[in-house]
Amino acid sequence: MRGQTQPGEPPGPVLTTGDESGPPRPYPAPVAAAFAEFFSGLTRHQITVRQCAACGTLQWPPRLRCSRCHGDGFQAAVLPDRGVVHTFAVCYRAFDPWFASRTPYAIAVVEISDGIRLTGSFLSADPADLACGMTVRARYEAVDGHALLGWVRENGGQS
Amino acid sequence: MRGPLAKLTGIGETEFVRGTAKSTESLLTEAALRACADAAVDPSTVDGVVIPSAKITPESYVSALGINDLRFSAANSLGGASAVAAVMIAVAAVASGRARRVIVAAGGTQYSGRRLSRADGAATGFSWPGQDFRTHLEHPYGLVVPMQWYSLQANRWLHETGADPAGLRAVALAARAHASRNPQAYFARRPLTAQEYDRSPFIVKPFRLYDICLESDGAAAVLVEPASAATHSRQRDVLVLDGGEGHADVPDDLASRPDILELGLQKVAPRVFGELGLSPGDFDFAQIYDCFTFVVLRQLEELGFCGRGEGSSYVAEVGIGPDSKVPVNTHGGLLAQAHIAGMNHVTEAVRQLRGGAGPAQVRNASLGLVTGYGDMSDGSLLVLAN
Repeated sequence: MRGQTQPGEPPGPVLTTGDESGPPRPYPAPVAAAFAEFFSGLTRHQITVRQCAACGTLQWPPRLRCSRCHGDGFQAAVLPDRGVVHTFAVCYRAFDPWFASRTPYAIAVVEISDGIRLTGSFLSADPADLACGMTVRARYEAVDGHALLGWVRENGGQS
Repeated sequence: MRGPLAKLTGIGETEFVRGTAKSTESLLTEAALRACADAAVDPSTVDGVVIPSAKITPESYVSALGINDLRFSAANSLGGASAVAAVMIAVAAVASGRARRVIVAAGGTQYSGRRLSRADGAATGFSWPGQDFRTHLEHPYGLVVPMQWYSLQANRWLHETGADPAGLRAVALAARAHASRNPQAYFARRPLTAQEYDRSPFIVKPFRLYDICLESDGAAAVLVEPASAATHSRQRDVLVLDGGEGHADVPDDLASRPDILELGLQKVAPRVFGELGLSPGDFDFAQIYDCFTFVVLRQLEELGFCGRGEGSSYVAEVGIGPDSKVPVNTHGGLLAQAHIAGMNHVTEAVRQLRGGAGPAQVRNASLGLVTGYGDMSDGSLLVLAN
């Protein structure tokens, strides 16, 4: 399945290619309950984290209890899908067979709200361009009926 | 300074190799028996075992050592920090009278068993802290092995502190220089030049091939006894002055750790050094857990040898090689001797303090430290003296 681009966006590199042979891309199966809203949100092109129902503290990744008030009730919170690269990895060797034919590939950890960071593939042209402080926005990748999170450089992913 | 908490009366090591038919259980119990022999202690009188990373069961030791009365057993889970933290569990057990002879052995089949470095996805079969975060938020993006996690820290460190990446190379070269003085080291006869390092491929930036430790088969063990125990062997006893473990905030996830550079060592080192009235410059050597060159630089910083971001300057100006002010990893470490889960750092520290480290011996070594590091920057620390 081809990776999706969003309306009005120039096609850019995607990690998901049309090559259906070979090993599958890693995807959690089954998706644990605490992550269900996040993954269903990605298919709607939204970043959905959790918010403590008692004190309103945003929480990501999901945990049993709120780290501030110890509450265990949560609601979904949709956050802006752009942010700043906090840190990154540029991988020249893969340790998973799906990624083995896709090196070099890059991973960005992006801060989208105070202390809330989301990890995803960096999909702009050259992984070596990736740097801390870079402004990026989400590009959602369709994978076998699911969606995964990618990041591209703000301003059309030009690099 | 207060008196010692316990002493290390015996050490044992198997062969350190790449390729073995032996099991982890066989290697660990062999190292344990050798530690008993080194201490001149009848293995059946061992009454406690601490099992780093819970690799085998206490019953394996009962069987292999012929233990009559196992009255203390424990296991822990701090990845590469487990071995040193486990020694401190044993120290607590003997210091409180719960046991009198405690074996701590670590290692296994890191080469012949499941290898983390394989491209076939072997690493995704390992169990890590925060496992749901790994499978849901990291594996789909190809983030699966520790060297990739720590590259997240390294890239932020370079950005935030302006540190010189050349410090990574200096640690790699120092490890090989030490290994050239240790005939038991895998790289004993293979020195590394700066040119070779610079030509080696990036695996995950900024880490090149030689920034990454060995994978090895083997085990190492210590026997821990109360400070008051009689000396059985002709070996000089090595005293445990203090130690402990530390865990970073959000210890099971780097991406959401408020200060992604934080190490567990930041919590334990000031506590231990403060209680003992010691500072980093007091030590004659430091055996610092070195799964990657980068984590040596960061631990030097957080131990207080220098400030955050100054690790590269420290290794360039003060140095960590043979004959430096405080030599680091006199055996070659995980980078150049073998990956024995960090217990080879403990056994080397004991050899140094006995004066039995051969060509690697640090002159008049009387005070040393050992660290462990693992599982997204858990830290452990041991302060030893003779």
